[in-house]
Amino acid sequence: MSNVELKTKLLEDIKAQFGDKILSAKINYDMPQVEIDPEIHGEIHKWLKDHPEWQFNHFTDITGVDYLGKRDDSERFEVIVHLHSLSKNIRVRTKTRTGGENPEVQSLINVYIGSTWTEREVYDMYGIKFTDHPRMTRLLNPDDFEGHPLRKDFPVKGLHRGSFPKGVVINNKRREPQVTRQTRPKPADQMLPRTPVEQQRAPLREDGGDA
Amino acid sequence: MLKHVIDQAIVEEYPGNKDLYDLNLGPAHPATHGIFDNRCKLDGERIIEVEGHIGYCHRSFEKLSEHYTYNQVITITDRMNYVSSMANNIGWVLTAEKLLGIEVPKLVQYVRVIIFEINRIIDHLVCNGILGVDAGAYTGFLYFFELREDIYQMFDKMVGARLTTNFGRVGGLDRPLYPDFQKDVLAWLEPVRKTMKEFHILLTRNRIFIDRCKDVSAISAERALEYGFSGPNLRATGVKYDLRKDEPYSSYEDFDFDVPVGSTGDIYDRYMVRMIEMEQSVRIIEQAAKNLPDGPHHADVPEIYLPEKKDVYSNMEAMIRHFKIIMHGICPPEGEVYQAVEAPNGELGFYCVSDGGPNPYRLHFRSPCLYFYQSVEELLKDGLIADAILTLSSLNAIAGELER
Amino acid sequence: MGLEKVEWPGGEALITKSSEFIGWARKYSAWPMPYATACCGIEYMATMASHYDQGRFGWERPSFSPRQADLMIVIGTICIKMAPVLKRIYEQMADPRYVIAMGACASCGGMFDTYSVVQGVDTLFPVDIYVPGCPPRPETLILAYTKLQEQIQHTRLEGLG
Repeated sequence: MSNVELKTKLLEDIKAQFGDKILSAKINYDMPQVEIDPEIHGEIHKWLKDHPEWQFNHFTDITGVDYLGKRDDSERFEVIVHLHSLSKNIRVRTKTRTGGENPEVQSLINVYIGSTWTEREVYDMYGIKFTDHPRMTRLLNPDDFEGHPLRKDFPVKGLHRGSFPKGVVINNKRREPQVTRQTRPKPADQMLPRTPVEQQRAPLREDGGDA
Repeated sequence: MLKHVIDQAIVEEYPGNKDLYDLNLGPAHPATHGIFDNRCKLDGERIIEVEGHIGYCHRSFEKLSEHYTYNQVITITDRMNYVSSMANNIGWVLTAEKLLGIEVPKLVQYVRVIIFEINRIIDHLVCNGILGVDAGAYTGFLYFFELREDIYQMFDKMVGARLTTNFGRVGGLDRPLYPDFQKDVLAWLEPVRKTMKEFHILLTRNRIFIDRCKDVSAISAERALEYGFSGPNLRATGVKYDLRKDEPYSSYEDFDFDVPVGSTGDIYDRYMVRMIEMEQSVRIIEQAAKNLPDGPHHADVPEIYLPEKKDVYSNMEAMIRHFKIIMHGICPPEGEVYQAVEAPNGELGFYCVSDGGPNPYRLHFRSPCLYFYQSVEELLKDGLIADAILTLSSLNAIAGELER
Repeated sequence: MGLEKVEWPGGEALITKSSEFIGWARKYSAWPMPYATACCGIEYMATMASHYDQGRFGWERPSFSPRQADLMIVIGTICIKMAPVLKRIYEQMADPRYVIAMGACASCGGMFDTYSVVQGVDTLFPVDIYVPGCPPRPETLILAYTKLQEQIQHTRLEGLG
């Protein structure tokens, strides 16, 4: 079976199993891709993993995309999962739309343990909550970070430029440059007596400091 | 809340040991490489519970790349896995070329293979050298770094930089090869072979090293796949998965090489897989460098690849193209593409969404490190604290790539 | 160091100012603490390894603990999550302490003008030497060492003239 036929068969198998829950299925740049109803997000991945023929047992990737302004607010986010089947050596991509005030998607932690941290990353970056995840906290940014950086309405430089986590005292003064530091004038009575050679030599600087 | 639950569970499980010792293995621990925070609970020397924290080197590559043009993103990929930066450059350039549908000449593909394999060697050199340092064998590191220094000098001649190479452009190489490239590459292989032999004598059959590494932090193939392992760490568990064989890119199908696999997935297997991979890389480089074809150093895509400088000054069309590429950037068609390459650490994937504009609408780096590093909570558990250090360095997680 | 030969009973003697002598001795005995977070760390390793061998310049013993160090080399990007940690490490070092900011990121944020990166470690504590480059070549780092040695020699300590 050639590669393209294999991919077409995979898409047909998925459509036959889930029917109208599959919103679209096509081959996108040589990658089989299915858009799914959020309801079956957990179910379809479990099916793909446990299927005796396909065996998508290699967890590849989970990430998100924000389509702010391009789509309705209720479905602005897309959660994208890439899976790989070692036995057939093909990949598949699933897309789940979500959005609204509190975007939520089912967690895959019971199917693929590898989604433990990566789902936390998606939550950190987009604010998409994964239900049934035991530790839905930020992964990369500090816990008291404000906003979700990869949303399109988040500025690159952050909401609070130059702010630090609690407990960090910001250094407002720079260290004095080296030259002034060596030649800082001292009161005359604190100066060391000059050696015979130095007395012959003219001071290098007017303020009497050493070079 | 969670901390409280864990504390409670530990007290129930180890009623005699209520005074577990808390150790923060990181983010600035003297014995670890890279800035990862592993909060361990210790019962004597034994690790009872680990909680991994990352994000100490999160530099927001993905956000930045949404504001960069396709060629500017190459500078970001330099800084991802900085031990083998050219491998990332090539991975991204291949992704952009897939999106644009460009076929590059054979010479470019072969040069990319050579550079890729050189980077694999120098990455594995650092990993295994540091593994030796952590096991108490500092000498190997000094031997290995001498090789890196040699190859840095070649990179310097080739692209003008040592570490952040910014190699390649969308559509070809950034400049023609320098005249002695072939000779330099072949001459470098001899010291590699010699040093590998010395390193084998130093470590591979070293009783202390074997005792430290055998059966430590082993993981089963099934579990590793579920975590999303790839690269040498996955092959050490016995899964023969190598993108160079399974999804050949850049003419990898032309070369004859073997993929080493381990059996138990412990530290020693990871070490051996890396050592043998280096030998195979030497084979690939030799085949590619000896059969280096002639031809142009870029594809014939005038609207994507910058024209030569002398044409820009003398030819009006070339000047207009130069202006358009610099000012407007490259605009690929709408679409989304996933391209994975077998980077030294594993499957380095680029998921790029284009909306037809000059910047990627969304660019996600599938870093191999993140997927295998999340297993430390499982790997370190019930091990000794001294083994934890070896485990962390044998996984070879690179902070810049892990946290992006 | 201005050495002066003078007549002394029974021969000749070399005299100098105590501050200069102490400065000369301190200059070659700094214990650096490399604090490597990112890319520049690899170039620091190259400086440390056999080819460039920073030991030649009196920096033989890198100390990985801040309490036994008097010079911190901040190598690589510092993120806001890292800032409190770095600040505390700096405070743990004994006075007199020096700081080298190696690379563009540590000096000013470099190419990462983003929400998660500290724009230069001098927002956290004073820096003595800024090393330019992304990453700096080992030669540049060695130049920074020698510049700092000059600076240490000419720094007067309280109570030592």
